[in-house]
Amino acid sequence: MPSSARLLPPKDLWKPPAVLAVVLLTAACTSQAAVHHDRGLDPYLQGTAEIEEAQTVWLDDDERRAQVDDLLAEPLGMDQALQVALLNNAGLQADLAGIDIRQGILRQDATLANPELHSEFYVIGPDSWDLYRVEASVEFDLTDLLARASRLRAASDGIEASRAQAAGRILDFTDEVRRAWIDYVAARQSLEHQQQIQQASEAAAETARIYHESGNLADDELYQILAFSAEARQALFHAEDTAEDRRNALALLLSLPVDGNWSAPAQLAQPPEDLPPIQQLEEQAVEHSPRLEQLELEGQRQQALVTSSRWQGLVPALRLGVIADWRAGELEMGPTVGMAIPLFDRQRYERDAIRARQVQLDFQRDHHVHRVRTSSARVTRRLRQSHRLATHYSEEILPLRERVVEEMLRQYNAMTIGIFELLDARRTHLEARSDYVDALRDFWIARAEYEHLLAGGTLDDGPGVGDAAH
Amino acid sequence: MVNRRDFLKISAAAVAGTSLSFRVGRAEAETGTSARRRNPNPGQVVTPNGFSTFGREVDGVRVFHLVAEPVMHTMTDGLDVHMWGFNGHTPGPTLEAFAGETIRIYVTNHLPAPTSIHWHGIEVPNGMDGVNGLTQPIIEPGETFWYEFELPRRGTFMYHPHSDEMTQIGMGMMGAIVVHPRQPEDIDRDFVIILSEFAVRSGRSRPDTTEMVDFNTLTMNSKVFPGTDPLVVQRDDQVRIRLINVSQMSHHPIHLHGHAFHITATEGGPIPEGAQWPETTVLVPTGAVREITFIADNPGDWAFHCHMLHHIMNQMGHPDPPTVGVDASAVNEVVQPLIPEFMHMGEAGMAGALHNGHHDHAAMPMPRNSVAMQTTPGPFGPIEMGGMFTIVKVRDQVIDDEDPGWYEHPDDTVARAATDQQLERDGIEVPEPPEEVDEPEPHRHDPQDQHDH
Repeated sequence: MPSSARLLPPKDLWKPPAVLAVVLLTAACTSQAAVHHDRGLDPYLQGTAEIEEAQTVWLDDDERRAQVDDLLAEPLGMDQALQVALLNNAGLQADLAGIDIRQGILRQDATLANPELHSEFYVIGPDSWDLYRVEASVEFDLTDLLARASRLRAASDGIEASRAQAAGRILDFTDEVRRAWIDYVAARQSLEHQQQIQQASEAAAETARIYHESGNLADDELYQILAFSAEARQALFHAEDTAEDRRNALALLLSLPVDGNWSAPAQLAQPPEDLPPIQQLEEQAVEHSPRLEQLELEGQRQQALVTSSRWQGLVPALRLGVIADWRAGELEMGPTVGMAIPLFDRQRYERDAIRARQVQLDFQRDHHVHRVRTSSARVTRRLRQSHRLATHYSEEILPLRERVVEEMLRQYNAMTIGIFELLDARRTHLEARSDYVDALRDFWIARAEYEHLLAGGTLDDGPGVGDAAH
Repeated sequence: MVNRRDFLKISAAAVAGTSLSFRVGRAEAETGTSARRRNPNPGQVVTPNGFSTFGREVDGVRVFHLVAEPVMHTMTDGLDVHMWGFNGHTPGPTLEAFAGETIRIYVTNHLPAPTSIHWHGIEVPNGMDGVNGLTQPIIEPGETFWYEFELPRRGTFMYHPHSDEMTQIGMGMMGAIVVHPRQPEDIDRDFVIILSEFAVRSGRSRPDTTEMVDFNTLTMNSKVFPGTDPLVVQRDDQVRIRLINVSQMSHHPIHLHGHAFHITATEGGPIPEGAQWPETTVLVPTGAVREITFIADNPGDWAFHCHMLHHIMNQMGHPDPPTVGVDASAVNEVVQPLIPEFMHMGEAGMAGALHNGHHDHAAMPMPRNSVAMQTTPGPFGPIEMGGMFTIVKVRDQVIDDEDPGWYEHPDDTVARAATDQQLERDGIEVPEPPEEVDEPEPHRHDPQDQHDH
């Protein structure tokens, strides 16, 4: 994050046809992201580049569409989904347009008042048009001028704060996209396993029918197996619904049609052997937090507003000017001074409010630092636990369940167990694979949280009390 | 019969633990190799898959030493089981002696559990009866007890623990006692076979001694077919087979093919000739002895087995539901997408499964350390037998006790497919196979009927 705010707003206002893509190459997961941009977000996103290796790329609309089309040509990996989302999502662009609104308001506040011109024309007598007098004066609001620097600083700080906020929004958005992508792929994978489980159940049902027709199963035995198979189908229905729901959620974030011709990989990757480094997570999360940067800038802005207000309190409505008096061909000039008599400090309560806002910002900063630290601890724990569980599934449970099927097949061949016990073992194996997908999903979600935190985000655990006050 | 490999094992065990008992004494080596003795004087008993001993004589007392200990026992190739036995073997050695002799038996307990030994069927002094807690204190692990008593009469008896019987007998602790009469007997071949049963789940290597009903491994001298040694006899031999049943739950109707025999004695003593009658199947209750005698006058390979049908199957399981009559190809079509290696058991029964490749370890993977339920290559195909099954091999000339191989049948004495000429000659009309019988509709109770009536 930049340590100093810009004094001047950027000159080049955002124009819709012009598109800037900021490509974030995340070091850990090499995710890439591109956004419409011309709002001075570079310093913040480039700041995250220290850990995400960001690159900035300018694109126009045609290029953007072409890039989206290229990305959609293949199954969308997480990185590709992120790029599509940042290029396509109108909601995000709407959020970012808020920066322009805030910039306009702040710039307006920093604008100098125009000088005032007063002029008077007198005719001495109705019969003598030669006798006239012209008096003109120009006055500047000195108080406004004295407070100018503070107001400019306040405006600049406010603009930077809004950019930091926008950068945080982008981080939150990328986190949202990552989660949605993981949820969707996991849901598809679960669906595939549920289909296999259903296939096992239907195989048992079909086998039961064959045995029943042969006279080797009684009615009650048949219907018990058929009922079990029918119940197993409920899980398939649920999995189908979940997969569709997750696709809807991802499509919304990517601004793509739900039934469009786009796809994602069939399964989540295996967990890596080692966890990413987590020792410096808390420190880096605090260091890179756009929210903390925003609060810092907001505090600086409030300080500038206090200075400005103080000038207005001390020197209320001080005006300086020049007056010219031209009468009967003679010109007289002299200075003018005007000021309000400061019987009442009309800025006092405004300053009280600003100071209260400063106190509030201090609390919010402390609260957010605590929140980041808590998030770091939670993510560390989740990452470790989910990695342990996913690894346990892949290295222990699944091989054992597979071995159980092999051994049960041997026992079946030895005629010590029946066919339905064998099919039951296979179904249990498939259920374990389905459970493994849940564990895998939890791991990659935790991994996404880790990336999010590392880039300066926090966990989406609802608004804190400090945020509510804000 | 003890083969060379087993004999080496036994000898090693004898040297290690009981060298004096087995290395001293009359005819020890001969009985240990179950050498053929025609009309022995006095009798010599052969323990197929085991060994016999006369012990040794010390001051007119016949002395034996039994060491109760864990053993690793091969029931047949591919099925090794952790068991308990005596002197490195199960069953323990057959103890041979003569009526009227005093015997002294030392019992050393090398088991992890206390034990005691009961001399089943012998009229011993009460304190020598071996019932733990009732007639003697327990033999703790590491202790050696002695038993001494006189053998009042000839006969076939058994010994087994009378302490935690389900565990210890269920683990294989048993042995035979053969008391010969003083006078020579007109017996050419004398065998002793202990019938027993174990619960060894397919894939396991230790009997389940908590099993009370469901025993799947039925043995003769702790071996299952095809691990059982054949009983090799010469044509016209007077043959005696001493059958001892130490099974936990089962009685065994033992059937001999090709010959009729007489039941000549029980553990209670000889049956008077006038009370004997010819049989081909003898029911041996658990805890009982039956001696059968016959003249082996019919050459061939004769099955000798329990007629409880599941007792002649190895590691019998209970696959449920049964597969007979089920369309195997239809089931394969449904299941193989899920389990590619799956092959449905035969729709024509276990033999069908057998001929379809089941129990062929190369074609169908089987549990580790398990034995096929029923299959042994025979001269005409797989022999669909296992468990409590052996073969009495009657030959015109017996050279030694080695397995003489399969019987060579005289020409035109083997059953085969009938020719059309034969059928026509004898007026046999083969009917067409019956059409499949439809299943009866299940009776459905209609509540309306009740109202009508």
